[in-house]
Amino acid sequence: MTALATTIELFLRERKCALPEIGLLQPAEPILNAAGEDIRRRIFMTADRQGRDLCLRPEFTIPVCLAHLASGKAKKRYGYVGQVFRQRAEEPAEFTQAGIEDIGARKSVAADVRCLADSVDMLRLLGKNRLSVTLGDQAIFEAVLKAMGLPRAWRERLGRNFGDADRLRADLDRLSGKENGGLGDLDPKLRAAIEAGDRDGVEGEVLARMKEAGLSEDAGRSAGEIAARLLDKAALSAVRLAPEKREMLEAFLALDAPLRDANRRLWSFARRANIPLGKPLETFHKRAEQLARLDLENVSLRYRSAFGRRLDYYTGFVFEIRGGPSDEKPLAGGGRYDRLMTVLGSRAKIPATGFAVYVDRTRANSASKAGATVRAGGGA
Amino acid sequence: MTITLALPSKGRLKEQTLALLARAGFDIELPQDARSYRGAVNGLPELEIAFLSASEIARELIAGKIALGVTGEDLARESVAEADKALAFRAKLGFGAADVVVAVPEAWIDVGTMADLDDVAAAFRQRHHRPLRIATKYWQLTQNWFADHGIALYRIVESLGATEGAPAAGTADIIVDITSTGSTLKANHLKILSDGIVLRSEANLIASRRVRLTREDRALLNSVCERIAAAVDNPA
Repeated sequence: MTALATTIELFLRERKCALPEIGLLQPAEPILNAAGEDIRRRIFMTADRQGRDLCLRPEFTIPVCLAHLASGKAKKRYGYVGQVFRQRAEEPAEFTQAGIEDIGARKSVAADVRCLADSVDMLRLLGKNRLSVTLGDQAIFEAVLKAMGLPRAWRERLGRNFGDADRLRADLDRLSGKENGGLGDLDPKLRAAIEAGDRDGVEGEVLARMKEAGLSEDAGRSAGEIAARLLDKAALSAVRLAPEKREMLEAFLALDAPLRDANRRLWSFARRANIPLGKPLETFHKRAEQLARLDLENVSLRYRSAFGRRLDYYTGFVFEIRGGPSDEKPLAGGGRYDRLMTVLGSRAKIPATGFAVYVDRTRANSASKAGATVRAGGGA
Repeated sequence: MTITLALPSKGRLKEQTLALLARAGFDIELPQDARSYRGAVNGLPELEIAFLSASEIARELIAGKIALGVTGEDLARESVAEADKALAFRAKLGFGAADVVVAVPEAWIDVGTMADLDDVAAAFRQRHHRPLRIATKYWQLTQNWFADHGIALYRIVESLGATEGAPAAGTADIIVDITSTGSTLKANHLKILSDGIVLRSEANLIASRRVRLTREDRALLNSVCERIAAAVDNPA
């Protein structure tokens, strides 16, 4: 083990983290299920002699969460440092990550704040003292959509693309434009049933088609599910996103301010738009207040309303930390992922936060500045 | 020096390729016996002919083991990520046309576009406790296509034959497959999404970018490509 890893482990123990054993080879199935098929292109897959798909550990969060679920414990903090493997365009595929996963903590604002504080401290331990943090909160975006009275199907679509400006713009174009999900060619009987809002009739039509094709209702989508979505779609096909609502959404997504001003900006947005943001804004406010009490010398905090991670298990507070505001690649990223445990098979909802530091990025920069070698020395 | 041109070793693809080469003025000598796969061009000894399966041609071009080959664009693009870095598509040959498409059960009357499928895929896991499953043999094309449409929450179920039967068999929900007339899909009660054409494929003349050629070989390769392309444009 390198001196650097020992230093990080000491830091993790001081912060009351257990250090679970996480193997380099991981079963691929839970990772593909949680992150989606797309991640397959970015990880290193292999198989054992029984044909079980395995991958080189692409990150620690999912394996740590699986270990937590297997332990049966309600609440625990975990820390890790080690190599991960991902296919990346400009950087080596093998690199070191260190981080903390805080699972099951019920006081969510306190856990959010601690998560950010821990990641700042870990970066300081690694010699990074000047930091710029970008914060986002998907819960605020979802509250805005809800308060604006947008239909659920739209809210879900927009929520899904939160954090991706291009996709969000394409969604807004579609919702305001002519091609807003027409129903296409339908046979007259079906069209009549839709127009009459006859749910049983529509369901019957779907069921007949399923029978004819030999599709089982238990195997996948049921007739009821298809009929319900079709009727929702029919109801929305004539609805357009009004220009003033679009403007309102775009005004919201353009908010970009130091965290100390963010609360005021959000309030004034809500007042101007005449929409109540309620509890999510209260939570945001409380979190911002507690963050302001941290020792943040040389750390700038900035809130960007459009900032989010496009992984569907991240649900609220998220952040990225850079060495400078214009640095392309973050030194660390983290946030709240309350949906991951259920995705991994937990029946109970278990809240969780976590962050990961790209250890090599903290080394590469300081090494080039100091003219030293990249070999990790003692950071403490 | 010589370069190798690989041609499909069986079926209609072989016949149509040979007919095209004849029109381009190449007098191809077929292998002497059934076990050999080497052919030749009368009067042009610097051009060697290899008869290989269409998927093997794609692999050998990507590996840089042959300089030139005739195979389906679908196979070429499926066999490597970022195909244009490894391969130069020199001419579309006007035969072997087939589309790689996204098809869903006809009973999914609420799904007509990729945007619909995005909504369905996103809600699928919460409802059915598993991701949407796609049967296909086209891993690469499917992953790229779904990534381009911002859809990440799905799983691929590999299918090496009779893919169109997967939804009825309950092994997958939808498919990505190749079709030329659409009749097999129809017979299996599947419909193509209106914006679900992943690739309009046909037989292509393809050069490998991973093979080192002398200046003479490069000139030969270019002249072979030009003659074949001209024959496509001027059907006799």
